[in-house]
Amino acid sequence: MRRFLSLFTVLMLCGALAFAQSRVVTGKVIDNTGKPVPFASVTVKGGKSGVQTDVNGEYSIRVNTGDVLQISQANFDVTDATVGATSNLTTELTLKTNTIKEVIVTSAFQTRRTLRSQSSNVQNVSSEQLNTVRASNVNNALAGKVAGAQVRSQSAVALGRETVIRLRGENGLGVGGGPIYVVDGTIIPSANDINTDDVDNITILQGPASAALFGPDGSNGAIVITTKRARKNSPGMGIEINSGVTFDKVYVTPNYQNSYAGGTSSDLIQYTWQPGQPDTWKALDGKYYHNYDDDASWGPRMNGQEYIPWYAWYGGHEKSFQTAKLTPQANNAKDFYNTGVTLSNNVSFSKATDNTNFRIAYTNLDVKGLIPNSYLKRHTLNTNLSVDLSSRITASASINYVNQRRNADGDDGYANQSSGSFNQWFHRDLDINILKDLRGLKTPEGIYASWNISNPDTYDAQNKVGFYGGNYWFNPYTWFDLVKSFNERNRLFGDVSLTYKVNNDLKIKGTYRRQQLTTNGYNIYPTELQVSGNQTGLNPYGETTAETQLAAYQTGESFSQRQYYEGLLSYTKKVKDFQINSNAGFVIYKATQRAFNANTSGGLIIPGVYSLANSVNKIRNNGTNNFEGIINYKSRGLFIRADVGYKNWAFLEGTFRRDYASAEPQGFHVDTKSLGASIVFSDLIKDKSILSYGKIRASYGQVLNLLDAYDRNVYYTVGDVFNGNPTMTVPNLAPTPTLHGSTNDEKEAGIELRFLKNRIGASVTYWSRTNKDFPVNISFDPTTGIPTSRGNAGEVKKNGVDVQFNLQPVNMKNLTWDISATWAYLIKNEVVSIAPGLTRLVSANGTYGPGTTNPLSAWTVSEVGKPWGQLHGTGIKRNASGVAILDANGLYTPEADVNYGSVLPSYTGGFQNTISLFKNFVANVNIDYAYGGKFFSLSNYWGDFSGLTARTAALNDKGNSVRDAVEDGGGVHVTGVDDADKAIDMYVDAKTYFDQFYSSKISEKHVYDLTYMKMRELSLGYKLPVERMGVSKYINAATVSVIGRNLWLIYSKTKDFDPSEISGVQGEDGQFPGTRSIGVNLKLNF
Amino acid sequence: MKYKFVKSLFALSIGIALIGTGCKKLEDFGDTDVRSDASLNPITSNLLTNAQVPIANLFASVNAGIRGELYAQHWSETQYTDVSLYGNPQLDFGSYSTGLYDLQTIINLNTDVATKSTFNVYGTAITPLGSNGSQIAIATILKVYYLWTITDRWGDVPYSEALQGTVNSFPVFDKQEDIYPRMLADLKGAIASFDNTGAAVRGDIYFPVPTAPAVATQANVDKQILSWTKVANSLRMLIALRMSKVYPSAGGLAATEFADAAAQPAIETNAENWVMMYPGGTALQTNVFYSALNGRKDYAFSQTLGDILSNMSDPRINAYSAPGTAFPYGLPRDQAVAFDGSVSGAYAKPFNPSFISPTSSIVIIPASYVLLAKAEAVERGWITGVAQDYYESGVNSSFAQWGQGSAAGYLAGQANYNTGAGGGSNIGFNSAYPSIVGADANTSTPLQRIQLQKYIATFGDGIQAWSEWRRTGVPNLKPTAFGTNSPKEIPRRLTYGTGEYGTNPTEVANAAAALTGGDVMNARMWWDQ
Repeated sequence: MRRFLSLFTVLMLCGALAFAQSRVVTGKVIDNTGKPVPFASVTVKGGKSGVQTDVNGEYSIRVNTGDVLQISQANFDVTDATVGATSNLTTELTLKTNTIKEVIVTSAFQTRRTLRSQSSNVQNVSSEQLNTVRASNVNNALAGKVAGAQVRSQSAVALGRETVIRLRGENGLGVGGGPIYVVDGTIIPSANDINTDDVDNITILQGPASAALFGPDGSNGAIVITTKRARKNSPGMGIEINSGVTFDKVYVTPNYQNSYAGGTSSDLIQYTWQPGQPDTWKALDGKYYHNYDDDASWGPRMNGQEYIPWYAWYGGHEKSFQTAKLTPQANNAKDFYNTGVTLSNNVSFSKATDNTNFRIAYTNLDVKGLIPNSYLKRHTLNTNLSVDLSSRITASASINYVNQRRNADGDDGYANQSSGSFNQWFHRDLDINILKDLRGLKTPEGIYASWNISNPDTYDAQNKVGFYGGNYWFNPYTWFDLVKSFNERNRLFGDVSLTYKVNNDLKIKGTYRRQQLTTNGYNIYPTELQVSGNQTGLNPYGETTAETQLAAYQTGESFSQRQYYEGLLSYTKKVKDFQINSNAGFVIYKATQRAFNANTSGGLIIPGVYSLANSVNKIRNNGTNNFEGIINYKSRGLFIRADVGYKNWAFLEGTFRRDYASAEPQGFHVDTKSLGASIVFSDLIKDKSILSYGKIRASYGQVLNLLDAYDRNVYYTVGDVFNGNPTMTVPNLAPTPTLHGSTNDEKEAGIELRFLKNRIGASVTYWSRTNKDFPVNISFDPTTGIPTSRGNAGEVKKNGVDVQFNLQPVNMKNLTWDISATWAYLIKNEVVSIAPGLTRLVSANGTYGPGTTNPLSAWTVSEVGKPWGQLHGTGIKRNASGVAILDANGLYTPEADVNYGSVLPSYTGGFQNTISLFKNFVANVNIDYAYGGKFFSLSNYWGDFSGLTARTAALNDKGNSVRDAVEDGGGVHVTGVDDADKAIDMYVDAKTYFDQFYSSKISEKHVYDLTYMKMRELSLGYKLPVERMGVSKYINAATVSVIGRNLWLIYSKTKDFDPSEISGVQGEDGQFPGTRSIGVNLKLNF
Repeated sequence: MKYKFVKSLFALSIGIALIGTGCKKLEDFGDTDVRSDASLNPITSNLLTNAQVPIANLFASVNAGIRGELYAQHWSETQYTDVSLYGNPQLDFGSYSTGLYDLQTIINLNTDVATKSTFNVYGTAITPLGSNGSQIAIATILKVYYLWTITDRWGDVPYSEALQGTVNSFPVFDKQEDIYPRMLADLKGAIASFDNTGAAVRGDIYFPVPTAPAVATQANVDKQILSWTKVANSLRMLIALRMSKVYPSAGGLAATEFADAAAQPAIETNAENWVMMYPGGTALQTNVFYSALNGRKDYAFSQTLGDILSNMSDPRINAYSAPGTAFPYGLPRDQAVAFDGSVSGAYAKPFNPSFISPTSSIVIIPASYVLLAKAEAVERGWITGVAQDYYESGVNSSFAQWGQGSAAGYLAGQANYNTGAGGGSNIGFNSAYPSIVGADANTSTPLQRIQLQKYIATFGDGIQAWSEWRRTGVPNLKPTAFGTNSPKEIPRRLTYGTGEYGTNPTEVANAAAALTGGDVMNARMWWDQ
C-alpha cells in the first residue's frame, strides 16, 4: 500500500510539473436543482478553443482573467460566465420549457454516464419517487417502481428483518443470490443499513449486461445508490429537518371462527372438588370448564354460558375462584399486538462553495414494535465532503456510521409465541385483556400462570407445576416480558479518495474504501419460565427435547471487514463528432470475518444468572452461525470500459474485467464482459411535435462468478467429547475437484419512445438470460454417504419483458397529474438441466418439509423442464376428469408428490400517481401488484387442524354448523367419486374432515395464490405558504404530509395473508400478520 | 490508435495493481484459502466414537425405535397420534450419511496403502489408534448392524454400491434377498480381520480399552477382540433367524448360517451384553430416552403389552412402565387427549424412571436375544441342544437385565415352556373405547412361547420388536380401528423418503415396482412374505 501511494504521488507531481505554467480554471455546470449538467459545451467567447463538461458536469479550461465563457447545452438556455480571480467556477443553467434534462446513472467505481447513452434498460429512481412515503427500508420503497423487480416484503411486526428483491426472476437453482447494494461506490451487504433519507437517487442495473463493471459481484444485478450532496446556490442556510411519526396496526390476519371454545371436548366438563385439592377451589365445585390442556379450539359452543376460566384456578387476583361467561373473543389475536410507533427524525446540514461540498446528516429512527417490549433504535450518520485543493486535485471523503439496537426475537416460524400460537394453537375464548392484566401472575412457588394449564383432576400437591404450569404455552405477554433477545450492530463504511486531473481529458483517482460491521447480542430464556412450563420448549438451542425445556443464555459477537483499494483512470475526449469516455483501473479486495457465538447447554448452574460461565454443560453453539468463525478472502480485479458516442445520438460501449480470487486455484481467473449499442433516432427527425424522443438499444453481457472462501476443500471440525473420546465426523458435503463459479449470460434489446412533448412515453425491453454451472450444493442420494456435493450444475434459462410507461393526462396551470407505471412479464424461468441423472433439487423448505421428522407441508423444487420453484406436496388424488377420489368415509385419498405450480409470479409491476394542485398540494398514490405464483400456508394448515379458522365452524349448505353432528344435519359436505368412479355425495364430521389433512399429510388445501394488488403508498402533502405566513425569513420551505403505507389490500385471493409479505419462498410457516400504517411528516428547510 | 491507448491504460493499471499487491503475482494469494479452525485430515478413533454414539440414538428416535415400539404396541401415543394411526411413514433412511459413512471412511483409510500407516489412522508407536485389521473389523460389524436396521424397515436398500461417496452417485437398491447373505458374509469377514498381534482400537466406547498404559496390554487387546467377536456372532444368529419365513428348513441357508455362528463365542450372559453406557453430563453423553421423553407427555406404556404382562404376572411391567394406568393403543387425538386428562395424568409412561435417568444404559444386544434365538433354532431343528434350557436362561437373563430377580415362578406358571398359556386373549381392549379390538397373546406351542418372550424382551428396542412381530406374528396384534391407512392394517414396512425420489429416482422406482402394491406401508418385504 505504501508503495502504491508513493507511486501515486510521483504521478501527480509529473502532471503538476507538465502543466504548471498555465492558468487553468476548473468549473462545474449545474442545473437549478444543483445536479450536474453533462456534455455541455464551454467556449471562450471570441476564442477558438472549447471544452465539454464530463458526466459530472465538470470541465477545466485554460483562460485569462476577464474572459467570458459561453456555456450551452441542448436542453438549457445558453448562459455566460465571467472568469474572475478564483480557479473554480460554478455555473447554473436554466432548463428550457418542455424538455427533460439528462438523467445521470451511476455504475461501479462511481462512474457516471447519461441515461441516453446506455445500451441496456437502466432504471433510475429519484429521491422523490423513492420517498413519496418515507420508508425505513429501501426495498419496500422500490416496490412497483422498477420494472422487473419483485419485492418480497415482510410484515412490519418483524422488526429489522431483511426483505428480498428479485431482479428478473430468481437467480439460481436453489434460492439464488440477489443484487448487490452499492452506496457511493461501497458494497453494503444489508439493505437495512441504507438510510432512505440520505438517498439522492438509485440506479438499478439488472444484471450482466448493465452491471459488468462490477465483475462477479454484479452477476445478479446491482442497486447503486448515490447519497445526497450539498447543492450550490441553494437558498437558505442549508439546514433541512425531516420529522415523521407513523402508527402501525395489525391489518391482515387469518379469518378465525368465533363460535367454539378451546379444548377438544365439545361439552363442558363438570368439576368436582376432591380432597387434597386447594380449599379455595371449593368455590368452583360443581361448575363447568372446557379442557385447557389441549391447545386446540374444538371445544364447546360459546353461548355466554357460565364456565370456569383458566385464571379462576389461580389465587391472588380479583378474578380468583370465580366463574365467567363463555363468550367469543373475535379480536383476541389482533388486540394482542401493540400499535407500533415509528418516529423518524432527520436533520442535515449542507453547504457548497466553489471549491468545497459538504453535507452531514443525522437520522434517528425509533420504532416501538407491535410485539410487546420490542423496539428498534437506529442512528445513522452520513457525511460527504469534497474539496478542490487546487484546480487539479480534489480530495473527498465519505463516512457513514449506522448504529442499531433491537430487542425483538423476530421468530415468526412454526408455533412462535405470537402469530404461531394465535393462528396454529390457541383458544378462541381467551380474553386478551385478561391475559394482559395477568401477565405477571404467579403462584407462591413462582409458577407463572398460563391459559394452557392442565385439567383440575390432574392436580398434585407434590407437583404443582404439573397443573399450574403451561402445558405447551405460556401467557404470551409473560413470554415477551421475560424473554430477552437483544442485538446491536455498528456499521461503518465510506471512502477517501484523491483525484488528480492530468488535463481536461485524463483523470486519475485513487480510492480506499472500507466497510465494516461489528455485532453483539444476547438472548435470555429465563429460569422463571423453565419452572413454569410442562411440555413446552423454551430455548431454541437445546440439542434434545429435554434440553430445550431448560433456561439458557446465548451471546455472540462478530466482526467483518471489507477493504478495497481502487485505482481509476478516466479519459474523455471529443474528436470531431465523436465523444469518447473510457475508464481503466484495478481493485484490490480483502475481506476478513471473525465471529464468536455460544450458548449455555444443559441449563444454568445458578438459576437466574445469565453468563456462559453458568452453563451446566460445556458451552456450545446450535445456532446458524458458527461457534467460532474465521474467514479470510482476497481478490484482485482489473478492468477497462469505454463508450463512444457519435453526435450524442449513436453510442457503442464495452466492458472487460478480469478477476483473481484466493478461493480459486492459483492462476485461475474469471472474465466479465459486456457490449452494447444504442441509437437515439429521434435526433434524426427535425419535427419533435409528435415524437419527442425515440431510442433503440441492444446489449450483451457475461459474468463468470467466483467461489466463496474454503469452497474447494473438505474440513473436519472438532465435535463433542464422549467419555473422554473426541468425535469427528466426515462432512456431509464434498466439493467436486473441478468446482468453479457459475456463468451468467444476458442479452437484451429495447426501445424507448416519448410523444407529445414527453407527455406520454414507454420503454419496452426484452431480455434473455442463461445462468449455468452454479456452484451449488446438490443433494445426492444420502446412501452414497455424502448427501451433498458442491459442484457445478444446472442451467436456468430466463426471458422476459420489462415495460416502463409514463403519462401526463392533465397538465394545467394549477393541476398536473403524472402517472408512471411498470410492468414486467417473466415469460420463462426454466430449469434446463441440473446434473447428470438428477432431475430435481429441493430448493426451499419450511418447518415441515421433506427430510424433517414429520414431512407434511409443501416445498419447492427445481425440476428439469419446468419453471423454477415448483411447489410440491402430497395432494388429493383425482380421477381423469379431476374429481377428487374419496374413501368410504368421505375422506380424500392422498396422492404423493403433486405439483401445485411455480412460486414465481408471472407479472409484477405497479403504478405511481402524482397529482399537484395549485403547486402546493401534492397527492401520491402508489399501487403495486403481482399476478401468478403460489404459496403454502402452514398457519392455515394447523389452524384448520386446531379448529381455529372460520372454515372449521362455517355453515354447511343445509344452514347448519359443520360442527353439528352429521345425523343432526351438520358435517362438511363432500362430493367426489370412489375408486370405481361412482359418485359420492355425503357429509363428514367436521373434526374428522379437518384432521385428515394432518393424518394423510395433504397440503393441497392450504396452497394459495400469490396474486395481489395493493395500495402500498399514499401521501397527501401540503407546501406551507411560508412567504404568505411571513416566516420566509426563517424558513425556506415547509411541507407537511399525511402518509399511509399498506393502506388497502385491494385484491388477493386469500384474505388471510398479505401475499406481498410471505415470509418464505415456499410459503409461510406461521408468519406475523400484515399491518397498516398511517402517519404524518413534516419537512422544514432553513 | 484508440486501441493502442486503451491497451496502454490497461497495462498501466496492471502495473499499479502489481505494486499495490506488493509485486506478488496477481493470482498468488498465499495461504489465504486455508482454514485455521478446522483440520484437513480425519482421525479414525474420533470417527469411530462419532459413529458409535448414534447407534443407541436409533432406539429413541421418533422414526426408528419409537416408531417400532408403537407399531409393536409396546407404547401408545397420548396427544399427537399419527404414527399409531398409521399415517404414511414416508421417511428418509438417515444413518448412511452419518454413522455409516464415518465407518466406511475408517475402513477406507485403513485399507488404502497411502493412509493406512499414517498418524491419523494408525497413530504412533507410543499412542497407537489401533491395528488396521481390528479397526476394519469393528467398523464392519457396526456397519452391518446399521444396515440391518435399515433393510428391516424399508426392504430393498442400497448396500453393495452404497457409501461410495462421489464415485457412485446413484447406488443400486440391492434386493433384501441379496443383502442378508452379504451381511452374514461381511460379519464373518470382520471376525477374520481382527488382528491380535496389533494395537487395541481407540475411540471404542462400547468395549473400551483402558487409556493407561498408552499401549494396551495383550490381555486388553484380546478382551476387546473377544467382545466384538461375540457381538458379531450374535448378530449372525439374529440375522439368520430373521430369514426363518423364507428359509425355514433345517438344511436351508438360515439354518446353516445360524448353526455356524452358534458354534462360536456369542453374547450369552448379561456381562457380555453390547451396551451403551452413558456418563451423563452433555447432551451427547445423556441417555437418549431421557433426552427424548423427559418433560414431554407424548408416549405412554401401551395397554396391549400391559395386559400381556399383567395376565402373566410378569414383574417386568414394573421396569417397562412408570406407575400408572396403561394407555389404550391407537386412539385418535381427541380421545387420547381426553384419556390423558381423565386418568388424572396418572397414565403410565414408558420405562420405570430408574431405567431412563441421564446415566442409564441402553442394551443394544442383550444375552436374552441370543438365548431365545438359540431356543427357537433348536425348536426348528437348526441346531442341537435343549430348547427349554435356552428358553429359560433367556427369560432369566431378561429378568436380570431389567432387575427383576428370579424368573423361577414365572417359568413354572404362565410362561412355562411346555404348558404356559401366554398373555391371554382380547388384550388391549378397553370398554371405554369399544371400537378397539383386543389382540390375542395366547400361546399353544413352545415356538410361540419363545416368540412371545422375544416380543416381551425387546421392550425399548422398537426396530427389533416390530421386526420380530412381523416375522412371527406373535402375539396376534390387532390394528387400531382408527387407522388412516388403507387397508387399515399394521404397517409392514416404511415407505421410501421423498429424498430418494428426488436423488435416486430410477433405483427407487425399481425397488418400489418390485413390491406387491408398490411403495406402500402394507407391502411385504422379502423375509416377511
